Amino acid sequence: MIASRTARRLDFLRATETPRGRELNLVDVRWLDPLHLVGIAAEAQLAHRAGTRLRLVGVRADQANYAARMHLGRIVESFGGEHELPTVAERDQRDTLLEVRPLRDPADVEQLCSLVYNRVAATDPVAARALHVALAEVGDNVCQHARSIGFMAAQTIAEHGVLRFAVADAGVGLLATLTGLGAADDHQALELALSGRRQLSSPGHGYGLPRTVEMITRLNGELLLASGRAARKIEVGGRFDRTLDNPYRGTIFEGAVPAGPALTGPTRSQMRE
Amino acid sequence: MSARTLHLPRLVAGRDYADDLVRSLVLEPGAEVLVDGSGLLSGTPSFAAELVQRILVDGKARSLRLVGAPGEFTGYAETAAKDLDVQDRFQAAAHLSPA
Repeated sequence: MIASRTARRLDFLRATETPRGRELNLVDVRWLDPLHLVGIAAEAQLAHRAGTRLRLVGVRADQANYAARMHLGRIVESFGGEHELPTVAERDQRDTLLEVRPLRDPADVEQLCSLVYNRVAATDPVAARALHVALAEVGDNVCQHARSIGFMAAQTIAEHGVLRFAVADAGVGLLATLTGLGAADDHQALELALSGRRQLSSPGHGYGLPRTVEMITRLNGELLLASGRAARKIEVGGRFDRTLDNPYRGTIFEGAVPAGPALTGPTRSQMRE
Repeated sequence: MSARTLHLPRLVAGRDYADDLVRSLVLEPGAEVLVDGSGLLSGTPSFAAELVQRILVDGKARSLRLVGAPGEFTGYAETAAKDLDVQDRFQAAAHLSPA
Protein backbone atom coordinates (compact mmCIF):
# COMPACT_ATOMS: atom_id res chain seq x y z
CA MET A 1 0.00 0.00 0.00
CA ILE A 2 1.08 3.58 -0.57
CA ALA A 3 0.41 6.77 1.33
CA SER A 4 -2.96 7.97 0.09
CA ARG A 5 -3.36 11.39 -1.52
CA THR A 6 -6.67 13.19 -1.79
CA ALA A 7 -8.50 14.79 -4.69
CA ARG A 8 -8.48 18.01 -2.66
CA ARG A 9 -5.02 18.73 -4.06
CA LEU A 10 -6.80 19.82 -7.23
CA ASP A 11 -8.20 22.80 -5.32
CA PHE A 12 -4.74 24.36 -5.35
CA LEU A 13 -4.86 24.65 -9.13
CA ARG A 14 -7.09 27.70 -8.98
CA ALA A 15 -5.76 30.78 -10.76
CA THR A 16 -7.17 34.24 -10.13
CA GLU A 17 -7.18 37.18 -12.51
CA THR A 18 -4.92 40.08 -11.53
CA PRO A 19 -3.86 43.24 -13.40
CA ARG A 20 -0.49 41.54 -14.09
CA GLY A 21 -1.89 38.28 -15.37
CA ARG A 22 -3.50 35.11 -14.13
CA GLU A 23 -1.99 34.32 -10.74
CA LEU A 24 -1.60 30.83 -9.33
CA ASN A 25 -0.50 30.98 -5.70
CA LEU A 26 0.94 27.74 -4.33
CA VAL A 27 1.73 29.00 -0.84
CA ASP A 28 -0.53 26.36 0.71
CA VAL A 29 0.99 23.44 -1.23
CA ARG A 30 3.39 21.65 1.09
CA TRP A 31 4.35 18.92 -1.31
CA LEU A 32 4.43 19.25 -5.08
CA ASP A 33 3.56 16.15 -7.04
CA PRO A 34 3.58 15.45 -10.78
CA LEU A 35 -0.19 16.11 -10.56
CA HIS A 36 0.51 19.74 -9.67
CA LEU A 37 3.24 20.10 -12.26
CA VAL A 38 1.15 18.98 -15.22
CA GLY A 39 -1.85 20.92 -13.88
CA ILE A 40 0.22 24.10 -13.67
CA ALA A 41 1.54 23.51 -17.18
CA ALA A 42 -2.04 23.21 -18.46
CA GLU A 43 -2.96 26.42 -16.60
CA ALA A 44 -0.05 28.20 -18.29
CA GLN A 45 -1.33 27.06 -21.66
CA LEU A 46 -4.90 28.12 -20.79
CA ALA A 47 -3.71 31.58 -19.79
CA HIS A 48 -1.74 31.92 -22.99
CA ARG A 49 -4.74 30.83 -25.03
CA ALA A 50 -6.88 33.44 -23.24
CA GLY A 51 -4.45 36.17 -24.26
CA THR A 52 -2.96 36.64 -20.79
CA ARG A 53 -0.14 34.94 -18.90
CA LEU A 54 0.31 32.75 -15.87
CA ARG A 55 2.11 34.14 -12.83
CA LEU A 56 3.28 31.29 -10.65
CA VAL A 57 3.93 32.53 -7.12
CA GLY A 58 4.26 31.21 -3.58
CA VAL A 59 6.15 27.98 -4.31
CA ARG A 60 7.70 26.97 -0.99
CA ALA A 61 11.48 27.07 -0.84
CA ASP A 62 11.70 23.37 -0.04
CA GLN A 63 9.70 22.51 -3.20
CA ALA A 64 11.11 25.12 -5.58
CA ASN A 65 14.28 23.22 -6.48
CA TYR A 66 12.26 20.15 -7.27
CA ALA A 67 9.85 22.13 -9.47
CA ALA A 68 12.78 23.70 -11.28
CA ARG A 69 14.49 20.33 -11.77
CA MET A 70 11.25 19.06 -13.29
CA HIS A 71 11.41 21.92 -15.85
CA LEU A 72 8.24 23.59 -14.61
CA GLY A 73 9.75 27.05 -15.03
CA ARG A 74 10.76 26.27 -18.57
CA ILE A 75 7.20 25.17 -19.44
CA VAL A 76 5.62 28.24 -17.81
CA GLU A 77 8.02 30.49 -19.73
CA SER A 78 7.22 28.72 -22.99
CA PHE A 79 3.66 30.02 -22.64
CA GLY A 80 4.82 33.54 -21.81
CA GLY A 81 4.31 33.10 -18.08
CA GLU A 82 6.33 34.24 -15.05
CA HIS A 83 7.67 32.30 -12.08
CA GLU A 84 10.07 32.62 -9.15
CA LEU A 85 11.71 29.22 -9.48
CA PRO A 86 15.48 29.04 -9.16
CA THR A 87 17.94 27.98 -11.79
CA VAL A 88 19.21 24.53 -10.86
CA ALA A 89 21.94 22.21 -12.02
CA GLU A 90 20.63 19.81 -14.63
CA ARG A 91 23.13 17.10 -13.86
CA ASP A 92 21.37 15.53 -10.89
CA GLN A 93 18.18 13.88 -12.08
CA ARG A 94 18.28 10.86 -9.80
CA ASP A 95 14.66 11.07 -8.66
CA THR A 96 13.29 12.20 -12.00
CA LEU A 97 11.69 9.71 -14.32
CA LEU A 98 10.27 12.29 -16.66
CA GLU A 99 10.35 16.07 -16.39
CA VAL A 100 7.20 17.94 -17.42
CA ARG A 101 7.00 17.40 -21.16
CA PRO A 102 4.42 18.49 -23.73
CA LEU A 103 2.43 15.88 -25.63
CA ARG A 104 1.85 17.25 -29.08
CA ASP A 105 1.11 14.09 -31.02
CA PRO A 106 1.06 10.28 -30.69
CA ALA A 107 4.77 10.12 -31.48
CA ASP A 108 5.49 12.21 -28.35
CA VAL A 109 3.40 9.83 -26.26
CA GLU A 110 5.16 6.81 -27.66
CA GLN A 111 8.59 8.29 -27.14
CA LEU A 112 7.97 9.48 -23.57
CA CYS A 113 6.32 6.23 -22.49
CA SER A 114 9.25 4.25 -23.85
CA LEU A 115 11.65 6.55 -22.01
CA VAL A 116 9.88 5.99 -18.70
CA TYR A 117 9.64 2.25 -19.30
CA ASN A 118 13.35 1.97 -19.99
CA ARG A 119 14.24 3.95 -16.87
CA VAL A 120 12.14 1.74 -14.59
CA ALA A 121 12.33 -1.71 -16.19
CA ALA A 122 15.82 -2.61 -15.01
CA THR A 123 14.81 -2.40 -11.36
CA ASP A 124 11.07 -3.06 -11.47
CA PRO A 125 9.68 -4.56 -14.70
CA VAL A 126 6.16 -4.94 -13.29
CA ALA A 127 5.93 -1.26 -12.34
CA ALA A 128 7.51 -0.38 -15.68
CA ARG A 129 4.75 -2.16 -17.58
CA ALA A 130 2.05 -0.49 -15.48
CA LEU A 131 3.57 2.92 -16.16
CA HIS A 132 3.97 2.24 -19.84
CA VAL A 133 0.36 1.14 -20.28
CA ALA A 134 -1.12 3.88 -18.08
CA LEU A 135 0.86 6.78 -19.53
CA ALA A 136 0.41 5.56 -23.09
CA GLU A 137 -3.34 5.08 -22.75
CA VAL A 138 -4.01 8.38 -21.04
CA GLY A 139 -1.61 10.19 -23.37
CA ASP A 140 -3.27 8.58 -26.38
CA ASN A 141 -6.65 9.83 -25.11
CA VAL A 142 -5.25 13.37 -25.04
CA CYS A 143 -4.11 13.09 -28.65
CA GLN A 144 -7.33 11.44 -29.85
CA HIS A 145 -9.92 13.53 -28.01
CA ALA A 146 -8.68 16.62 -26.16
CA ARG A 147 -8.24 18.88 -29.18
CA SER A 148 -5.30 20.39 -27.31
CA ILE A 149 -1.77 19.44 -26.43
CA GLY A 150 -1.21 17.77 -23.06
CA PHE A 151 1.55 17.41 -20.50
CA MET A 152 3.15 14.40 -18.85
CA ALA A 153 5.44 14.01 -15.83
CA ALA A 154 6.67 11.13 -13.68
CA GLN A 155 8.92 10.76 -10.70
CA THR A 156 9.94 8.49 -7.88
CA ILE A 157 9.33 9.74 -4.36
CA ALA A 158 11.69 8.07 -1.92
CA GLU A 159 9.98 9.63 1.12
CA HIS A 160 6.75 7.81 0.25
CA GLY A 161 8.14 4.70 -1.47
CA VAL A 162 6.06 5.49 -4.49
CA LEU A 163 6.28 6.16 -8.17
CA ARG A 164 3.89 8.91 -9.28
CA PHE A 165 2.95 9.94 -12.79
CA ALA A 166 0.46 12.38 -14.22
CA VAL A 167 -1.02 13.60 -17.47
CA ALA A 168 -3.11 16.75 -17.97
CA ASP A 169 -4.57 18.72 -20.80
CA ALA A 170 -6.51 21.95 -21.12
CA GLY A 171 -8.74 20.46 -23.79
CA VAL A 172 -12.46 19.93 -24.20
CA GLY A 173 -12.83 17.49 -21.29
CA LEU A 174 -14.45 14.07 -21.00
CA LEU A 175 -18.04 15.30 -21.20
CA ALA A 176 -17.56 16.89 -24.63
CA THR A 177 -16.00 13.65 -25.85
CA LEU A 178 -18.59 11.30 -24.39
CA THR A 179 -21.86 13.23 -24.73
CA GLY A 180 -22.55 11.37 -27.96
CA LEU A 181 -22.22 8.09 -26.08
CA GLY A 182 -24.79 8.99 -23.46
CA ALA A 183 -22.97 11.06 -20.83
CA ALA A 184 -25.21 13.86 -19.55
CA ASP A 185 -22.82 15.43 -17.01
CA ASP A 186 -19.21 15.32 -15.85
CA HIS A 187 -19.80 12.50 -13.37
CA GLN A 188 -21.47 10.33 -15.99
CA ALA A 189 -18.65 11.04 -18.43
CA LEU A 190 -16.09 9.97 -15.83
CA GLU A 191 -18.04 6.80 -15.10
CA LEU A 192 -18.34 6.02 -18.79
CA ALA A 193 -14.61 6.51 -19.38
CA LEU A 194 -13.52 4.37 -16.44
CA SER A 195 -16.12 1.63 -16.34
CA GLY A 196 -15.56 0.04 -19.72
CA ARG A 197 -19.25 0.37 -20.60
CA ARG A 198 -18.17 2.33 -23.66
CA GLN A 199 -17.04 -0.96 -25.22
CA LEU A 200 -20.70 -1.96 -25.49
CA SER A 201 -21.66 1.01 -27.65
CA SER A 202 -18.44 1.25 -29.68
CA PRO A 203 -16.74 -2.17 -29.90
CA GLY A 204 -12.98 -2.01 -30.18
CA HIS A 205 -12.78 1.27 -28.25
CA GLY A 206 -12.75 2.34 -24.62
CA TYR A 207 -10.35 -0.29 -23.26
CA GLY A 208 -7.51 1.97 -22.19
CA LEU A 209 -8.69 3.57 -18.97
CA PRO A 210 -10.52 0.53 -17.55
CA ARG A 211 -7.46 -1.68 -18.10
CA THR A 212 -5.26 1.02 -16.59
CA VAL A 213 -7.43 1.00 -13.48
CA GLU A 214 -7.18 -2.79 -13.23
CA MET A 215 -3.43 -2.75 -13.66
CA ILE A 216 -2.77 -0.03 -11.09
CA THR A 217 -5.11 -1.41 -8.43
CA ARG A 218 -3.62 -4.87 -8.92
CA LEU A 219 -0.29 -3.36 -7.88
CA ASN A 220 -1.90 -1.83 -4.77
CA GLY A 221 -1.62 1.59 -6.35
CA GLU A 222 -4.11 4.40 -6.71
CA LEU A 223 -5.30 6.75 -9.41
CA LEU A 224 -7.17 10.00 -9.71
CA LEU A 225 -9.07 11.26 -12.72
CA ALA A 226 -10.84 14.61 -12.92
CA SER A 227 -12.61 16.51 -15.64
CA GLY A 228 -15.04 19.41 -15.33
CA ARG A 229 -16.70 19.23 -11.92
CA ALA A 230 -16.15 15.50 -11.43
CA ALA A 231 -13.20 13.81 -9.74
CA ARG A 232 -12.78 10.16 -8.88
CA LYS A 233 -10.09 8.53 -6.84
CA ILE A 234 -9.66 4.76 -7.07
CA GLU A 235 -7.57 2.69 -4.69
CA VAL A 236 -7.57 -0.79 -3.24
CA GLY A 237 -10.14 0.23 -0.61
CA GLY A 238 -12.66 1.46 -3.14
CA ARG A 239 -13.56 4.46 -5.18
CA PHE A 240 -14.33 7.97 -4.01
CA ASP A 241 -16.23 10.53 -6.06
CA ARG A 242 -16.10 14.23 -5.45
CA THR A 243 -17.68 17.28 -7.02
CA LEU A 244 -15.08 19.98 -7.52
CA ASP A 245 -15.95 23.55 -6.47
CA ASN A 246 -13.54 24.79 -9.09
CA PRO A 247 -14.13 22.86 -12.34
CA TYR A 248 -11.04 21.47 -14.01
CA ARG A 249 -10.77 22.78 -17.57
CA GLY A 250 -9.80 19.70 -19.56
CA THR A 251 -8.78 16.39 -18.03
CA ILE A 252 -6.18 15.52 -15.41
CA PHE A 253 -4.96 12.07 -14.42
CA GLU A 254 -2.59 10.83 -11.75
CA GLY A 255 -1.43 7.31 -11.04
CA ALA A 256 0.79 5.94 -8.30
CA VAL A 257 2.30 2.52 -7.68
CA PRO A 258 4.55 1.28 -4.88
CA ALA A 259 8.26 1.41 -5.67
CA GLY A 260 11.10 -0.34 -3.87
CA PRO A 261 14.23 1.38 -2.51
CA ALA A 262 16.28 0.34 -5.53
CA LEU A 263 14.03 2.46 -7.68
CA THR A 264 13.29 5.46 -5.50
CA GLY A 265 16.84 6.67 -4.88
CA PRO A 266 17.48 9.70 -2.65
CA THR A 267 14.82 11.65 -0.76
CA ARG A 268 13.88 15.14 -1.88
CA SER A 269 15.67 16.65 1.14
CA GLN A 270 18.81 14.68 0.33
CA MET A 271 18.63 16.10 -3.17
CA ARG A 272 18.90 19.64 -1.77
CA GLU A 273 22.08 18.87 0.16
CA MET B 1 -3.69 -16.43 -50.79
CA SER B 2 -1.14 -13.92 -49.47
CA ALA B 3 0.66 -14.27 -46.16
CA ARG B 4 2.06 -11.42 -44.13
CA THR B 5 4.20 -11.32 -41.00
CA LEU B 6 4.39 -8.42 -38.60
CA HIS B 7 7.13 -8.38 -35.96
CA LEU B 8 6.14 -6.28 -32.97
CA PRO B 9 8.92 -4.20 -31.42
CA ARG B 10 9.73 -4.18 -27.66
CA LEU B 11 7.16 -1.53 -26.76
CA VAL B 12 3.96 -0.70 -28.59
CA ALA B 13 1.37 1.92 -27.73
CA GLY B 14 -1.30 4.00 -29.38
CA ARG B 15 -3.82 3.50 -32.14
CA ASP B 16 -1.79 5.56 -34.59
CA TYR B 17 1.21 3.32 -34.20
CA ALA B 18 -0.92 0.21 -34.83
CA ASP B 19 -2.32 1.91 -37.95
CA ASP B 20 1.19 2.63 -39.21
CA LEU B 21 2.39 -0.93 -38.66
CA VAL B 22 -0.63 -2.50 -40.36
CA ARG B 23 -0.39 -0.05 -43.26
CA SER B 24 3.20 -1.18 -43.80
CA LEU B 25 1.93 -4.73 -44.41
CA VAL B 26 -0.04 -3.66 -47.52
CA LEU B 27 -2.77 -6.17 -46.74
CA GLU B 28 -5.01 -7.78 -49.32
CA PRO B 29 -8.44 -9.15 -48.42
CA GLY B 30 -8.18 -12.80 -47.48
CA ALA B 31 -4.56 -12.55 -46.32
CA GLU B 32 -3.21 -14.74 -43.54
CA VAL B 33 -1.42 -12.56 -41.02
CA LEU B 34 1.11 -13.72 -38.46
CA VAL B 35 1.90 -11.22 -35.72
CA ASP B 36 5.12 -12.18 -33.96
CA GLY B 37 5.03 -10.79 -30.43
CA SER B 38 8.05 -12.69 -29.13
CA GLY B 39 10.09 -9.50 -28.80
CA LEU B 40 7.31 -7.55 -27.11
CA LEU B 41 7.80 -6.39 -23.51
CA SER B 42 4.79 -4.14 -23.07
CA GLY B 43 1.82 -3.24 -25.25
CA THR B 44 -1.33 -1.30 -24.57
CA PRO B 45 -4.98 -2.42 -24.84
CA SER B 46 -5.74 0.29 -27.40
CA PHE B 47 -2.86 -0.81 -29.60
CA ALA B 48 -4.07 -4.43 -29.42
CA ALA B 49 -7.65 -3.43 -30.26
CA GLU B 50 -6.58 -1.30 -33.20
CA LEU B 51 -4.35 -4.10 -34.50
CA VAL B 52 -7.27 -6.52 -34.52
CA GLN B 53 -9.63 -3.95 -36.01
CA ARG B 54 -7.27 -2.93 -38.80
CA ILE B 55 -6.27 -6.48 -39.76
CA LEU B 56 -9.48 -8.46 -39.39
CA VAL B 57 -12.26 -5.86 -39.72
CA ASP B 58 -10.96 -3.11 -41.99
CA GLY B 59 -8.33 -5.25 -43.76
CA LYS B 60 -10.65 -8.25 -44.13
CA ALA B 61 -7.79 -10.68 -43.51
CA ARG B 62 -8.70 -14.33 -43.45
CA SER B 63 -6.87 -14.93 -40.18
CA LEU B 64 -4.68 -13.32 -37.56
CA ARG B 65 -2.29 -15.47 -35.52
CA LEU B 66 -0.68 -13.73 -32.56
CA VAL B 67 2.37 -15.65 -31.40
CA GLY B 68 4.71 -15.29 -28.45
CA ALA B 69 3.22 -12.11 -26.98
CA PRO B 70 3.03 -11.58 -23.20
CA GLY B 71 -0.16 -12.99 -21.69
CA GLU B 72 -1.56 -9.61 -20.79
CA PHE B 73 -1.26 -8.31 -24.35
CA THR B 74 -2.70 -11.51 -25.77
CA GLY B 75 -5.67 -11.06 -23.44
CA TYR B 76 -6.24 -7.52 -24.73
CA ALA B 77 -6.24 -8.78 -28.32
CA GLU B 78 -8.58 -11.68 -27.51
CA THR B 79 -11.04 -9.33 -25.82
CA ALA B 80 -11.00 -6.97 -28.79
CA ALA B 81 -11.50 -9.86 -31.25
CA LYS B 82 -14.50 -11.03 -29.25
CA ASP B 83 -16.01 -7.55 -28.97
CA LEU B 84 -15.50 -6.97 -32.68
CA ASP B 85 -17.08 -10.34 -33.42
CA VAL B 86 -14.07 -11.70 -35.31
CA GLN B 87 -12.91 -14.26 -32.75
CA ASP B 88 -13.39 -17.10 -35.25
CA ARG B 89 -10.55 -15.65 -37.34
CA PHE B 90 -8.24 -14.87 -34.40
CA GLN B 91 -5.77 -17.33 -32.88
CA ALA B 92 -3.18 -16.88 -30.16
CA ALA B 93 -0.27 -19.15 -29.32
CA ALA B 94 2.62 -18.97 -26.90
CA HIS B 95 5.16 -20.26 -29.40
CA LEU B 96 5.66 -20.25 -33.11
CA SER B 97 4.75 -23.65 -34.54
CA PRO B 98 3.84 -24.97 -37.99
CA ALA B 99 0.33 -23.84 -38.96
